[in-house]
This record gives sequence, C-alpha cells and structure tokens, in this order.
Amino acid sequence: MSGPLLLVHRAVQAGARTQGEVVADTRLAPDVVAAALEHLVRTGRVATLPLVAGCPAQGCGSCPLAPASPGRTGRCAQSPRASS
Amino acid sequence: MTAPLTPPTPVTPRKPGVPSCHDDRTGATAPPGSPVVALVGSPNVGKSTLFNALTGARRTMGNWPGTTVDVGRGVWRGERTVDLLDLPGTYSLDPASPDEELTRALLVEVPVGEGPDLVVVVVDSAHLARSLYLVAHVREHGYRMVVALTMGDVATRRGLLVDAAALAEALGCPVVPVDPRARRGLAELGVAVDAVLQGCCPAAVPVTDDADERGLDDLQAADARFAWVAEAVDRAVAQQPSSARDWTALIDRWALSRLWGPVLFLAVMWLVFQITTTVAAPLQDGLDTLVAGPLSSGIAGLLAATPFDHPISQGLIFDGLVAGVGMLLTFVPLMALMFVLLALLEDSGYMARAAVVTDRLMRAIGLPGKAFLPLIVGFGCNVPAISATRVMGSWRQRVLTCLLVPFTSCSARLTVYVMMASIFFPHHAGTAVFVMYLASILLVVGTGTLLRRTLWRTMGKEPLIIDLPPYQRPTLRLVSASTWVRLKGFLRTATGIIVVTVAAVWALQAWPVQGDSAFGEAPVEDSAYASVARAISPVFAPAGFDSWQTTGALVTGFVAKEAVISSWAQTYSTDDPGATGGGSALGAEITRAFDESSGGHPLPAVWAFMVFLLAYTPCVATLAAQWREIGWRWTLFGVALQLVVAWGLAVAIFQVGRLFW
Repeated sequence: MSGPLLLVHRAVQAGARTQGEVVADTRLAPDVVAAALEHLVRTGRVATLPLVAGCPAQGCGSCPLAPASPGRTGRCAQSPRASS
Repeated sequence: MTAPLTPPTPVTPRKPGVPSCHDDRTGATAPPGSPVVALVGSPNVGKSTLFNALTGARRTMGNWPGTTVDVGRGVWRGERTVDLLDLPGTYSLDPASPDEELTRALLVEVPVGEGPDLVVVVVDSAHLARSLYLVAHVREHGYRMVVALTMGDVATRRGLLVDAAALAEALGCPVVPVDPRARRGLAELGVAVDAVLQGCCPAAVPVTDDADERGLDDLQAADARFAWVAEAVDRAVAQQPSSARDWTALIDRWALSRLWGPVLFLAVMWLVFQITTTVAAPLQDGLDTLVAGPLSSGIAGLLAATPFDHPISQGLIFDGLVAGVGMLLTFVPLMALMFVLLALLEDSGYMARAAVVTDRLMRAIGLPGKAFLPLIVGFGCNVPAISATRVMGSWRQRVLTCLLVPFTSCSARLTVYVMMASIFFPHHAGTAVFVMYLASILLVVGTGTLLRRTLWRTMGKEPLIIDLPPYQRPTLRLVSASTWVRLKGFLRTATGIIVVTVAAVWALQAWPVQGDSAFGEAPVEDSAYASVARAISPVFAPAGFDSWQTTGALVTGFVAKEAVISSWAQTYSTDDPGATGGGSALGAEITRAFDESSGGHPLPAVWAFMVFLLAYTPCVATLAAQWREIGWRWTLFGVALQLVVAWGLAVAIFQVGRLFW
C-alpha cells in the first residue's frame, strides 16, 4: 500500500497542479502534502517554476524567468524585459 | 551526576577524514568529558536562536576541520553542563549541499564514540510534517533524542494546535515546547535532556521492519518515513479556524473551483476591459483633441519659424508623426489604466489563480504542463514569451509552444481592438475587447489541439506544481512600479519602431507611381503605398475588408500591431487633412471603408478583421525571437500557419455573419 509521499507523487503525475488539488486528491493533511511536495521538489522528482503573469516591477533583471534566457533575446514590443 | 554514556551505533563504516563531534580543535569550551549535544533542524526553525538562548549567545564560530562550513559551539549550563553544537540546518540526512553533508557526516558517518551523545531536533510547530521528516531520519540511527518544539506562536496564529504529549507518545521521545526569544521552556528542555542522557541509547529504528528484505529504493524509503510522519501529525495536531489562511482558502474554493473558477476568471477579465474602455474613453478623447488642436497648431507655428518649413517636411511631420504617433499616444491613458488593473490582480494574488484556471484548459487538450507559463507571458508581449519557451523540457514541446505563443493576444493588439470596438460598438466596447481575449484563448486551445493531433501525437508529461501565494492587499509601490515598467515599454515602442514605421509609410505614401505629381504632392491613392495595398487587397474580399486602406494597415501591422493604427491615421490624414489627429473623423473614415468593402455588412467584417488581426503574425520582433529559438523552418511554418488560420477564420466569420447581420 502506498504512503503519503507516493500518493502525492501520483497526484502530481496525474495532473494536480496546486497544493490544494493534491490535498483534495489524496485527502492527506495540508501540512503533510506541503512537506511531501517539498521533498519531491528537493529530490528533483517534481519541478516548480516561478509563476510570471507580467513584467516584474523592477524590470528584466529581477524577472524570475530571466536565468532561462542568458543572452539577449530581442526587442520586446511591450516591455523592456528579455526573459523567461 | 553524570551517567555513563553509551556511544551510538554507527550505521555506516568509518570513512577517511570523517569529522568527530568530540574533536577539541573545533572550539570546544565545556569541561573535558562533558556530554556532547547536537542541535539539528531544518533551516529557519529557530535552531540558532535556541542555541543562543541556551549558551547565552557565547558561541565559537569556526570551520569544521576539513570543511568550509561554519558550526557554532558553546557551553550549555542547564541541568548539567553539556557541550552544545549548532549543526548546519538540513531537511534530511540525505545531503543536498556542503552544509547538509557536514550534518550527515557528524550524525551518520562518525566512528563509534565520536558522534554526539544526544540529538536535540528542533521542530517547527507551524510546519510539523516537514520538520518531523528529519526526526524520522535521525531515529533510524539510534541516537538519544529530544524534540524541541518551536514557533508555537506562528502555529497558533495559523490555527494549529500541537499536543506535545501526544506528539511525544507518537515519536517515542520527549517533546518540549520552547520559545527561545522569551526564554520559555529552556529549563524543561534541560531536564528532558538530562533525563534522556541518563538512559541508554535506544536501538536504531529502521525505516520499515522489513526494509532489508524489500530492498526499498530512495522514494519508497522516504515514503515509509512520511507514513510515520503523517501518523504522528494525525495524532498530535488539531486544526482550528484562523484568519488569513481561512480567507485564502475560502476565496480559493471559488477561484479554483472547476466550475466557478472559469466563470469568476471570465467575470474579472470582463470587468477589467469594461473599466478600461469606459473610464479611459474621456481621457483619450481629451488627448485626441489636444493632438488635433493645440499640439498641431503649436508644431505648425514652430515649423513656420524655422528654415525647414517645406511641403515635404510638413508632410512628414503632420501626415506622419503627428497623425501616426500622435494617434497612438492618445492610447496612453487606456494602456496605463489597463496595466494598473492587471498589476492589482497580480499583486493581490488572483492572477496566479487565473493561471491555474487557464492551465486546466491547456491540459485538457494535452499541452505540456509548463506550456502555460510562456502562454501567460504572451498575453503581455509575445517576444519574451517566445524566450520563455526555454523552460520547456523537450524540443517538441518547445516548438509547439513557440507556434502557439503568437496566438496569445498581446497588449499591442489591445489598442486596435479598443479603437475598433469604440467605433463600431461604442456602448459595448469593453465586452467586445473581452470577446477578443476569449477568442485568443480558444485559438490557442484549438490550434494546440490541431497540432497535437497531427504533428505531435506523443508528448512527454512533466509533473509541475504551481506555488500559489496567499491573497494580500496590493501595495501602491508595487502596482505603480509594475505599471510604469509596462507603460514605459509601450511608450518606447510608440516613440521608437513606430516612428521609423511612420516615416517609411509616409515616404511610400508620398512616392507617386501614377500621374505626374512630384514627391510629396501626389494624392495618396496614386502612391506606392496604395498601389501595393491595392494589389494585395483582393485576398481579403471574402472576409469583407478588402479596402486598400485596411489592407495597407494590416501590411504595416507586420512590423508591430500599433502600426495598424498609425498607418490608418496617416492614410486618412493624407487623404483628408480634416481627419488629422481627430479620432471621430478617423472613425467615420474607417466606418465608411468597412461599409463599402463588406457590401453593407460592416459588423461581421469588423469581427472578421479583429480575428484576422489577432491570429496573423504579431510583429517582426516575435519573428526574430522565433527564428532564434526554433530556427527558420519552424518560423516560416509558423507564419504560414498564422496566415492560413487568420484568413480562414476571418472568411468564415464574415461569410456566416453576413447571413444574420
């Protein structure tokens, strides 16, 4: 029988996208789900990405997705950011 | 009284260079023979604060021999004097950093008699499960153990009640609530440590009783530990209602609901466009009047006073810059308001929920999980969104997402939607713009489905978790800073590439290819611009917008979507000087053009035009970004795809629409 970590891992693989969805899918305590997710992320089994819905207030340099684009990425029509 | 200490049983063979907790080169200051107690815990659980409280903040900091990791050491004069070690913070005994490696080395890899005599695991009451995983790990190595429970105040604020007695029973070791900052519980911790030091070392507790026979891998072993942790949490923790967390949970029940989440998202977006178009309209009209009146007069006066007062320079300045760039700048209030509203949504935490809602739609059609990140960025600007596809795990996923990004409606297209909606649907402009954004989402989903079912039937899955921030009151500083960054981008485009485009369009409109007129004096109908546009315009006849003025604007729209507006303004300004800068005059010209080209069905033609504008190539900067990211073959494929989809949808909308409208 699977324990909490495997249940959480399966829920994420099955498409759960937020901690709340994993809690709903597994019926585990939110704290246990949070700890299990942290463990899965730390061990590289689940990816987390910064959610970027717009340009950061401090400009391109503070864009959490900036490391994905180390070089110049061209002109941005709406914002000076060259990123993500 | 000091009880004889039984050294813990090492579980791994001795390795060369493994440090010892009893090494006196590490700044030990307790009397010789004092028991060594190690403080361990995850980062930020209050371990060092506890260490300072227990030792009176008298610590010896130093690198452990052979390492570059700082370890604190001091004397704890509690129930008995002990040599206290503050080991580097770690989540588990499976190290992921040099700090964690040292903690593991001192607890797991030490030779017999050289490990600590007792381990105090500092556990965060507010994140009990996370902290208990380390407890589970430590107990597998047969140490005497005491748990110090910190952050009780934070847990209480979050509505978590931790029963220390029940937790002690579940863990099989003393659990002492402490508050090192208030110096509460320190004496009780000393008593517990002394009592446990007097006992014998417990036997190591394996992950599971049949671990060896089952040959557990890392994940299964961690799973077994988590099962133990979950049971302890169940027995010791009670959740009570609390304020902020409950608010977030309550709102999320609606915002993330599979049924109501999308409804709320649509309602919020409709409200954003409604407010934008309604509130910004008077400001835009005011700017329009300013550009057409005082600004134009002022520039004319200035020009007359210079030696450059020539028909050609007048044409470039009035028919080009004032008409084109001036018209675009009247959109500044609208864009500013839109950016403020979006910044408010982002800073409040709602935008993250909106991303989850749209992501569900993407997943439903089998798009890779990470695809929604660049697609969300694309609604701001397609160029960084193309770069954002680098987060995709595989080449196929990256190409697919790169091909879909241009269908996300960037804010440059918003200006054209607003202009068209204000002219043709003045009382429902916000709703019309909202429909276009909805169409953009459907276009991404539809094209994605088409590509997934034809080009890429198999595409790997990548588990992905979105970290949702709690809701918060937006701050003025962040909202204004975020708005300014975006507005600056819009102004940079309007005063940069659009100025160049306006100059090029003016030159083409001033260059006669029919008649005997000189450069700058020919009617625009006889210009090279009109001639090229006329040659292309029959393509749009089935879509109902085949006037050469509209076609010309769409062609310049390849450079940037804002150029559609500036080109229209230039064309009608040259054609009819009375239309210079005047939004209503321009609106009347555009209405007439759509009336004529659609054969009396302007509204279906307008929808067809806006959908074409949404779906065809966003701008040259996006093309350049695609070229760099996925190569010229896929870029050209993308352009062809965009044009075919755009034209096909425009024709379908017009042909069906004119049957009813």
